[in-house]
Amino acid sequence: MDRVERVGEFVSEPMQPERGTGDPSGMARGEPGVPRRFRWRGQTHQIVEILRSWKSSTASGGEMYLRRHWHEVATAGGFRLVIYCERQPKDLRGARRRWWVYTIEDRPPNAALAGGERDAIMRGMSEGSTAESEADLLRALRRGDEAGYRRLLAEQGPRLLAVARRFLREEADAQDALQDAFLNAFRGLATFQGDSRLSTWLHRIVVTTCLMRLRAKKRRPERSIDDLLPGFDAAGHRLAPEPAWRGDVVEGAASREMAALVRNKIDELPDSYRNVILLRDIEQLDTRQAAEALGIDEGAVKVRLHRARQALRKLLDPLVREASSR
Amino acid sequence: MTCKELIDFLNDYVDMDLPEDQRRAFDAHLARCPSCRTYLDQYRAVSEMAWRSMQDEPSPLPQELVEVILRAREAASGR
Repeated sequence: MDRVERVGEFVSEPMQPERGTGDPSGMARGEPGVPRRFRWRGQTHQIVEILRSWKSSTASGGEMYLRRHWHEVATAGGFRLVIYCERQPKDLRGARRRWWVYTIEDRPPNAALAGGERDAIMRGMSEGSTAESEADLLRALRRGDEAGYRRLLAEQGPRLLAVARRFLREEADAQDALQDAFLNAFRGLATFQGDSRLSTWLHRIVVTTCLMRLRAKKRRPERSIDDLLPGFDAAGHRLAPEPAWRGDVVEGAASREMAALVRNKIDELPDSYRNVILLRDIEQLDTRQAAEALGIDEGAVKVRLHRARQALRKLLDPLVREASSR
Repeated sequence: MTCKELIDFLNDYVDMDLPEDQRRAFDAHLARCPSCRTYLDQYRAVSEMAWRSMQDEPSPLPQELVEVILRAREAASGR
């Protein structure tokens, strides 16, 4: 999978371009036109400047690959965002182009807050997630300013609760883990050196807390996934050819119904495999970071991830075929 | 290269961690093996599908949870 260097706050959230607002110059080159207006987080945003643009694609070799068109943009509301559009491979008929907000590089004051939380912060201290405002926030937290803690919870809490929900199947567990993680973070504030963004540091703490909670749960021995891996004959040839999936399966996974089915299949994986999928493919940790989180070496992470993806492919296969036959 | 050898190192191929000579061998096998091409496509799609399936828009923290965390912090700090 292609990745770009992340400087801002990683969000990876879908955005919906407003129809008819695509930049015609890009479209004339056969590229997805950057939308002048789009919906994101329940609001309409207007792009006032495209700061830079670039492209990336996955390694070729098969017939299918994803090409992404990246743009760093400034919005009328004061956001500076890295957004991207995925161009679907040519063999996926009927595919749409999808747009995503990848990172928030800068944001207007209080952009992540709402209602009473925003008012509370306005009375005290505030700014967005710029380095300067993060330093302000850290100072406030270290001197025990409650408005600072409320701001931290309002800005980071929703995203981190979503992380906890991905790891822990029960809502109560997820909320308990988030509480533990924040308390651990509060205790660690004195020693936080600022080597990474506060949001990144908190993300790691939540992930670690969730993994510890999963380990602490009484578990049955894990089932083998060998039956979910591909079979080969003695000469190393495939026992049965793989029929291709039809339609835009990746786009289909974003629908509410299919997303729930895919999540159920991920949940069917034994925890050791499910966790590595969550860390690498969902939370986008690199191999070294995933190895640290799991307490295993990098080679073991790679092997486990490879087996997990193969097993998940097998589990998803009937779902995809059924969906494409409708 | 056999199909099994290709599948065994598919993650390294996808992550572009293979040396150039091995990568060329992979490409040569993929060029003549439709079944492995299909498997590679699906292998890549699985990661994307998993990621897509988990991209619910974050919802605000329940206010009760915010207050519980703040109270726990106060208690822990001995106030």
